[in-house]
Amino acid sequence: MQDLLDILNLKTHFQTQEGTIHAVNGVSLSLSDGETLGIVGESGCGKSVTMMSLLRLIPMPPGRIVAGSAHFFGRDLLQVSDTEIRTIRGSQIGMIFQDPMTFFNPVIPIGKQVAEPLEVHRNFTRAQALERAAEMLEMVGIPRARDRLSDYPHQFSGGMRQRAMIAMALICNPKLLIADEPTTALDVTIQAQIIELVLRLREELGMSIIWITHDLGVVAGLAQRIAVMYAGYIIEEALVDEFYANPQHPYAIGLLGSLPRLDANGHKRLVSIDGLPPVLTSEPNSCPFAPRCWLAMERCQRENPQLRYINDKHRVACWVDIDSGKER
Amino acid sequence: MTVIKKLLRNPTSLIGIILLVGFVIIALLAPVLAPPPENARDVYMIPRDGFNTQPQPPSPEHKLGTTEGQFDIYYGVIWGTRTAFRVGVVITLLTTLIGLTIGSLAGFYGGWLDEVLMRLTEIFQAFPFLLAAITLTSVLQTVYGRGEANFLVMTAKGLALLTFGHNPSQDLDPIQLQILTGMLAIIAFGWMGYARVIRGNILSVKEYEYALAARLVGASDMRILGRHLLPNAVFPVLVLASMDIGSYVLTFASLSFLGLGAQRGYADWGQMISFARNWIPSLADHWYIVVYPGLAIVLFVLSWNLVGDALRDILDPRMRGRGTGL
Repeated sequence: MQDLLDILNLKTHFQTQEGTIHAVNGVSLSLSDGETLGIVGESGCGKSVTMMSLLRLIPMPPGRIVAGSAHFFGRDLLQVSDTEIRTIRGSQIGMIFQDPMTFFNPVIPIGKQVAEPLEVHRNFTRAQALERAAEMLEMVGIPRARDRLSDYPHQFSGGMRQRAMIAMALICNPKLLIADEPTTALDVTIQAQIIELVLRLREELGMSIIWITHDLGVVAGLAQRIAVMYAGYIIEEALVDEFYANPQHPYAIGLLGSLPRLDANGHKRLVSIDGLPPVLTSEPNSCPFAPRCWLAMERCQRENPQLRYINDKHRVACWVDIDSGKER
Repeated sequence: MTVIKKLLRNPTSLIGIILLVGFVIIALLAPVLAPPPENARDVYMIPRDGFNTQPQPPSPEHKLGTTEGQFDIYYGVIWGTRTAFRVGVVITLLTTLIGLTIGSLAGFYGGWLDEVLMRLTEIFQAFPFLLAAITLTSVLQTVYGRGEANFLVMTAKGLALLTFGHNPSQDLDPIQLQILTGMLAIIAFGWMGYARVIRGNILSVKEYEYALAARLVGASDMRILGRHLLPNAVFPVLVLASMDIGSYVLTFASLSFLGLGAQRGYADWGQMISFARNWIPSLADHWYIVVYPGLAIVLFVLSWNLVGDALRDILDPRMRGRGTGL
């Protein structure tokens, strides 16, 4: 399959008064046409920063993309000019966010905002763009969309705003949709509706999706592949079935253990992982998870494991072979 | 629409608006209310009735009396309304524009540009305003007197076009030029407050997610700033500006009073009051030379202040339900 997006060794740092924060440490990911990838991890593990780096939306300074490349349709997003990245944002890559409350500008009607990408990228006239915006809003399930074009954001409910945000991200028919925890701020029934909506739109529009979340339950039904991030590293990546059946990294096992499961027998207690994820101010020379890991060995303290294939659909960065408890 | 309705419902702002409308009517009807003499070269030059140095009290011929040198006060007050509007509105327009541009660029881009622009703003702010304006006016007047200062002539012509509708291809009228230098000086030292207010607002507004959203859509910097950020940040500046229109007129009057704004005999309230300078010891007898133009200035400034105040209460949600009883 042709790769749509190919991120290689992406590193993003932030300069702060306490020193350099290593937020993303050599992330490599690829995404093929039509594929959905879930990126999972705790808050502050670098999921969002990775995606923001891709679109060059990291505030610089203090942020800095130190190394890496990100090829999208053969162009390196990290190298193209500012003008060129602007033509890609919103037209070939759409993005939706967690908080639908603050996403829209309070002084501009929803219709105009949803139509804006068309005005910016496709040279649509205002009337054409609004017409298309109405169709798009209809498509994401806003009833009587045409009558609501001139409504202001505060007249929309949270779920409707989330739908409108999706309409805005997809109005130019992007090849890639980046969804940064888009369901976190919504209540469960609306969450389910939004996920269903995205699944339907994926079929209709044929785009690839990167879905960032800390909810392992959400991605299970959505993604084909899952990557787990920790402290700016990808520590495990696998096809969905493989990942849920056979997690390899102690952190991933911990994450899965913290989920209630319908198919669990008996009354097993949910597991929690002690401690907090580290804030890296330098490249560690140990496994970043070692301090919280119950399987940590001597080697974990002196060498940071690289992401390696254990079979053709599963990569993991860990010195410990989970099945035997011994070093790989 | 609702803003205007609220303005009309509020008693204080209603007074302000009535005063303002009154001034507008006077300005528009000036040729009817005080018809200029047949062969006037410049209708803004107050007609004189002889050269007697003694001011004359109100009489059927001169409804509000005459100043020293027999300039008709009634004529000056009426036509001075036009000058006040021109001076006030144009100065406010330009200071706001300069302030908005500098402040929003500084706030939006940050970094070294912010540093440079804000230090520049502070340098301008460090000068005592009236003193700086006086100095600059006199400097500009000598510079223009010499002619041949291309950039400055261009600015003055632009300003003349905006203020008097003066055709830029023609030479500047020396009478107008003197007013323009005063205005230029006030503009040069008047924009800093707006720049600082808008910078602060842009700084806060640009952190909102909709700014990121606009970036995400692929909008250019100018589009983000102009369409998404400024409309959310500009209201305090507009309120400030509407309140300042009056005070600019006051400042210009001070310049005129000092002999730096309008020429002697020009229909300008400040200039008219300057006729009273020699008569301060006997003002009890010659009260009309200072009271009528003074009253005009007071009411003019007051009307803008009332409107600006009410605008602030209406546009600032935190002030809602307080203050003027909105």
